[in-house]
Amino acid sequence: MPRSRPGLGEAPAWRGLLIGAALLLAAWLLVLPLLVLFVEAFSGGVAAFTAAVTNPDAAAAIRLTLVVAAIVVPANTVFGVAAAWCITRFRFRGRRLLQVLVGLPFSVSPVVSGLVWVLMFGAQGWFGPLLSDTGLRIVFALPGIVLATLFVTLPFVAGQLIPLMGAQGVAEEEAALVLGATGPQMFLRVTLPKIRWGLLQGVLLCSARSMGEFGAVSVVSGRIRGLTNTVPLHIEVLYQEYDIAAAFGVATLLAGVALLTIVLRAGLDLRGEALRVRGSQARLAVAA
Amino acid sequence: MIRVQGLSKQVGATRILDELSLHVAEGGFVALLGPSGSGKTTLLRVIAGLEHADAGTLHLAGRPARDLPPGGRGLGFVFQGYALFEHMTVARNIAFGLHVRRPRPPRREIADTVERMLALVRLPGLGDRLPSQLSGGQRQRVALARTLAVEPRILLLDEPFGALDRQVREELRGELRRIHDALGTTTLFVTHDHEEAMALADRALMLDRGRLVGERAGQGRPAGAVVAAHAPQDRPAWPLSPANRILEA
Repeated sequence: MPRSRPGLGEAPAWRGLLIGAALLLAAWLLVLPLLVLFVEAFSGGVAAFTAAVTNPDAAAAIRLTLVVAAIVVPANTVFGVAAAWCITRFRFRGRRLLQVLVGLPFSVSPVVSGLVWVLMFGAQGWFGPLLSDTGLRIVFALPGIVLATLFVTLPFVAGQLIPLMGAQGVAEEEAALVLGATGPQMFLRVTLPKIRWGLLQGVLLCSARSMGEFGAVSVVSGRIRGLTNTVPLHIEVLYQEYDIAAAFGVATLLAGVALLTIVLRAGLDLRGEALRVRGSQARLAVAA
Repeated sequence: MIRVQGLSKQVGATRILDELSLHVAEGGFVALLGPSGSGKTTLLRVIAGLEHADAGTLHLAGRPARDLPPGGRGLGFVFQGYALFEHMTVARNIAFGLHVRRPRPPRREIADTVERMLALVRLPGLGDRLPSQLSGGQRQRVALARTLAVEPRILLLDEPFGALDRQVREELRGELRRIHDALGTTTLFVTHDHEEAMALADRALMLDRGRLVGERAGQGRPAGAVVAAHAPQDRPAWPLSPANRILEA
């Protein structure tokens, strides 16, 4: 074993200090707020918590959030798979541009992501007069909230799949085609099983964000109580009205979604790791 | 069986195939030799329908094949990196070409074919393994079995033994020749190993910069065939046969 560079894996005191600092920071920034959240939520007792969560406005917000997620997640899953497919499988003019565009929502402020829809479909917007003729409402209604959420969560599935599919290559797909598979057969039998864990990760992240998005949605929603308030907006309203216990109560729902996402992702990671380990152990056993 | 005429393909400023013509007779076992970048693999992929040529014609078994999909050309392709379906067992890999066929053959028939193929490539009893649990040589045998299960008349192999160590490579060469002779397929394989080409094939074609620049008889002969009267060394180095000279003209 060659001695490694000083300071890297050699001095236990340093290592302990660094690990300690990292853990302390994580506890302070991540665990403590979560603890505060749950303590505050139940500060008024379980009955107050239940009342906050089952209040008609809260129920309407939960329903709206679930409806938005039910539209946005499948749509962005299909888009993400299609975009990753095009970017990793074909060489075409505009490929780099598409790749940059897919990541764009990450670098745009959520306020802007919401504002563009108001500027396009609002009463004074580009398509405003057209819409007022047909009577179709987009801004301050469900379609606007869906559009804003679609935009914000667009990169999650594609972002997981592009590096994965790029690394996997196309040899297995080509083999399937030569063996007589049709396009759909190739996708369902070869591609989908290859990308399923990465796809699930992307879908999880996309779901979590579509339910938790605040900024973009707050611009387009108009915050009509019981009508266009999603869960994050409802929490904000409660907080503004100094109904702290209720605000924290409803917030535990979003925290619950986040925790569930973390647990599921960890499970997926472990599973992926186990598959890799099993594969390499088997190869070693064969080689020995 | 494979007739290629005036095949050209250009990517950017590079000519990968340059009015290439060649002919492989039915039952032939032909090696494609040449330096890297000479167009060997591209030629194979164009014949398989995985890439398209800019110009030229391709006939397989006497029929124009340019516009056929890869799966409709009656050929099998063995990839350099095996390209096994990692999430399927060996048996499912071998059965793939039958599972996607419409109408799908009866279950019993598929199971029989899988068993026959495993026996053919000498891997009986390994049907339940995953590809990740196999050695390189075993993986290559599975790839061959998967390809042969759909009974292709033409077998294309892209550097099939490149990643294997010497002992396994020599063993598999013998197997490939044996299977070719037993099934009567027409085989075209890419290699950069002269010795391998001469030992295995009955004809070796030399490619350079997308053109056919020569050919030579190899020592591989179907069992019972008459061995060439004079050794290949007595001939001028890499002359084109009359058939291919006509195609070139």
